[in-house]
Amino acid sequence: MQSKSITLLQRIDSDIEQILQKFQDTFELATNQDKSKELLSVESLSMEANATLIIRLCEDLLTISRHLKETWCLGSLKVDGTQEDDSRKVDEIYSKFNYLTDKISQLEESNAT
Amino acid sequence: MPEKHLLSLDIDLTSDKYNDPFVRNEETLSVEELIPRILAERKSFADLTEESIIKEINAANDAESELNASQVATEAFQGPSKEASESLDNLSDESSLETIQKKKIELANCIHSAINETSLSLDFVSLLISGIKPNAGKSTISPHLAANIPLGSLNSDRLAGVESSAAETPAAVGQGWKLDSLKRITNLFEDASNILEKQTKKEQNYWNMIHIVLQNNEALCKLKDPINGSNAIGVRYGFGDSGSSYHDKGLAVLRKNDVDGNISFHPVSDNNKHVNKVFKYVKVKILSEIDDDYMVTGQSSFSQDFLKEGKHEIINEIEKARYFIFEEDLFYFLTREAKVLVNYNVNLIGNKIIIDLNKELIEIEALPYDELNEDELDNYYQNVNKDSCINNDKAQSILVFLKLMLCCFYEYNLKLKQRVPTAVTKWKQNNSHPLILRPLLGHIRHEINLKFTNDLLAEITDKYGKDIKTDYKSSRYTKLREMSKVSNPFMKSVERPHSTYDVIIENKSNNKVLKIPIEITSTEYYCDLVIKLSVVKYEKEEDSHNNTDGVNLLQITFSEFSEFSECLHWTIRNFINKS
Repeated sequence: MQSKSITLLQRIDSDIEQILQKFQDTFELATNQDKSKELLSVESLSMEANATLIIRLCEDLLTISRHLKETWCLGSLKVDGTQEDDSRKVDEIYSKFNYLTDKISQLEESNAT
Repeated sequence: MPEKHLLSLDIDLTSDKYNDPFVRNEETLSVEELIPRILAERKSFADLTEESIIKEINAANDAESELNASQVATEAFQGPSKEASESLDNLSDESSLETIQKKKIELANCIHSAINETSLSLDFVSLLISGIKPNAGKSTISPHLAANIPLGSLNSDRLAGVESSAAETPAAVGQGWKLDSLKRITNLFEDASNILEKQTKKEQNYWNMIHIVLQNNEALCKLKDPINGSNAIGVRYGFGDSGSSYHDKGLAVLRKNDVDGNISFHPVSDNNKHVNKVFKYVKVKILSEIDDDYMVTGQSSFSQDFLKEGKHEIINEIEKARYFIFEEDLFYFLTREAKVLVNYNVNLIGNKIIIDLNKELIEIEALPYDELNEDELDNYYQNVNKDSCINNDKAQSILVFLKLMLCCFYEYNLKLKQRVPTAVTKWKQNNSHPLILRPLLGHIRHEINLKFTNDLLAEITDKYGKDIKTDYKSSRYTKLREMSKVSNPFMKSVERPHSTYDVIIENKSNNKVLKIPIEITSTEYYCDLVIKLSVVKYEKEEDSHNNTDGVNLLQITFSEFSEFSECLHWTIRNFINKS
């Protein structure tokens, strides 16, 4: 596998892990037992910080998906494998083209008279 | 000096040495100063008599003498320590003087600082009060403060007593804070989910459209949008990768609509600038001379094949752009080629190439594409009357031929690109021009030349029929027949036209035979006539078959048909007469 795709997969994993972790943290911080006032205020602030972090990570996931699609679209070069036998095709075009050329010049001849 | 005693002042202090402004020499006091002083001490002059003053002085003297007597007594009692105490007295006298001095200076300092503090607090109060009662403040404030600080700039307020209640316990406050944060978190999540949902919808829309484009086998690439410099996906709709050397490589940006994620198609030029294209298509018209006037007898049709029903709009747009870039490319090379062919009755007037053939004109022009002009697009004018459509087929064929020749050039270029780059291939790449008009013109002229030759041979047969027996075989495009394998399907037009005639003339009287091979071809330009004529004479007919004992009479190359005809006539006349 390419190193690029490995890093992308790792990013997805770490993002999801962090989202879950931060969500859990938020609920842990919500408990309120015999803590000092200072600790409580810090905890309530870090709850909000966790929330913004989760949002940011979600946006990051969206960016990764966009990145993946871009790589799929731009990185692949399609080769049409359904090409017919070349020589037969050439012959066919050859005769058709010759007929066309004759048609152009022949008509002219009949007119010139 | 009773007053001196009364005031208990040391006269020494009033000397010049200690000039204290508060302690004046009472003997030098003037009457004006003295009177208020006495008034201050004795209240009034009313009870003041000389006797009472003498009494007072005596009383004071008695008290002093008593004090002295007791002092003498203590001195006598203390006896041996008298000297020591005397010296101590002297010492304390001097130090007390100094102490007084110090104390006095200290006192003055204290007074000064007290005054200072007071004025400061007065200033503070004045400034404070000036907010409520400006006049009261103004009258007491110090000039320095008044000059530097605006009145009323200091304010005071009464502090409310901090209430203490049950809500102040840490648990309750913390719960409130956390509830607050949870509420904010909920809002944040809600907003973010709305935004993200919209965004994913947009993304989905965008990628669906990109997918549609990709399904159409388009080549996508990354590029910068020239309008805002953002990254975008572009599409190569042109023929730059297929061998086209036209300046416009056919690059377009698929711009994303920020509102709904739809993409739109915008062509950009090479240097990443926006271009507004006028779509033009190539039309071929044939005009024939009828009654000394040129009339349109045929024109190519325009088909909107590139617009397909049921295809997505963006695909149609790409196909349309592709169609017109090819037309543009074609007309560009046509005009370039036409410039070179001025000598061969090819004129370039405006957006029109006019090829003047014998009694016929071929007009090739680039017409602007107007989606609304249905008459034109439906080829309405193609079939106005019977005369005007007899050459429609031919015009269409010519157009197809021109397009095919451009494709042929693309193929040639592509093969050059695929080869190992050397100086020669590079030179070829830079100096190759497509063969489009030249083969067209060359073939037409070649046919005319062949017809002339046929006519000439017929004329000869006719004219000298009674003396000679003519027999000829013609073969057209001989070079093509010699080819064993077809590698390039367009060989017929890439190679110069080349036809041969084998004429055998037998003299009826003496059976001598002339063998005349004629080659009709052209120069590199395709348009100049080249006739190679050689004449071989044989004594017997059999020899001509076996190709033995032949005598080469002539081997000439002509570039004009009249000369060729003259020469052939002359040769045959000579052949008849001489032999």
